[in-house]
Amino acid sequence: MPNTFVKLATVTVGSGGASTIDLTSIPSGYTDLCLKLSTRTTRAATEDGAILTFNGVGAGYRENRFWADSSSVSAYTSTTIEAQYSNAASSAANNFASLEMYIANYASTTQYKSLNYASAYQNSTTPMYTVYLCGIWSNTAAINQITLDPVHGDFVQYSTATLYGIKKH
Amino acid sequence: MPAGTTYTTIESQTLASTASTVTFSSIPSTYTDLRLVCSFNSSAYAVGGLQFNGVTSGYSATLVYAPSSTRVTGQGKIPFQQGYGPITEASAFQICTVDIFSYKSTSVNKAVQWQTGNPTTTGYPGNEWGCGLFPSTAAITSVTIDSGGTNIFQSGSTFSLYGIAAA
Repeated sequence: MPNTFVKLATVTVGSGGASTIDLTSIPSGYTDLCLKLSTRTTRAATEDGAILTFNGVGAGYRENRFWADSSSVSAYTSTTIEAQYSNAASSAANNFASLEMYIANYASTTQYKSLNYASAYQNSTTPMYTVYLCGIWSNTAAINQITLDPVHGDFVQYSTATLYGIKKH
Repeated sequence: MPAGTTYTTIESQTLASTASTVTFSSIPSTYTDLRLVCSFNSSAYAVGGLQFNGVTSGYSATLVYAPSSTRVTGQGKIPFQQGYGPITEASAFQICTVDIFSYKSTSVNKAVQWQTGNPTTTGYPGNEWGCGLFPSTAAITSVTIDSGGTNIFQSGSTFSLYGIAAA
């Protein structure tokens, strides 16, 4: 049976922390990508976020995201794509945010790159947030690099990013 | 768990010309759940959606397209109300990821979750998350993706159905 869902890379932040997470040299042999994150940052607050860029390019992004807590739903649009939320230093210890992102046709050289994700800010002492985002990168270059840069702090030890290739057969 | 044994391509279709609907039929009962991934360009706004086993009534759903949400019942399909465009840029494709749970069960009604949003590079993308119900205990053997109109799906659009098998 052919491999359809294949792990391409895992980055685990070490004891010194990391200012960014970079997934580089992404091969072009798959149809879509799935990115799974488990993150926490050093920001002196309960939550943080991380700006997503492809191939080191900082332009051409559009997003629409909404998030919900125990009592309300809010929406936001931006010309960046933010992985929202990450847990941060003031959230309960050992809680890391989770996020699963789907990136379609990442290797195409004729299509812009569309993505969506669902994520959750985890906290064992206050209500959690759930976040849903749809975004687009209006660039026809094949994606060969994914970078996550925290908005405020640095990623702490045990933050992880795992990238999977999905190949239709 | 070895990769590839739990996530398998059942069928993938790429449109060579425009289409109103796309159907996956004769879905095997080999798996636990299904994942449908649609990547499409569309020519007009429409309420698209899913139908199972050719059934055209009785679907219900709750949709969130923040800051609004809605609940609908008695639908002819699981509705994707965020719409299918029109997508005016040939390079922009909308993705719709759909999870269909316990599709082969003959004991439970069939639950669906999805996320989609029509892309634009001049304004901002749409964004919709929804959960739906197909109130039938019949095993799902076919899935139809309805564009909501005539020949709305454009050539080059792809639709892939994956089977996910529990270990």
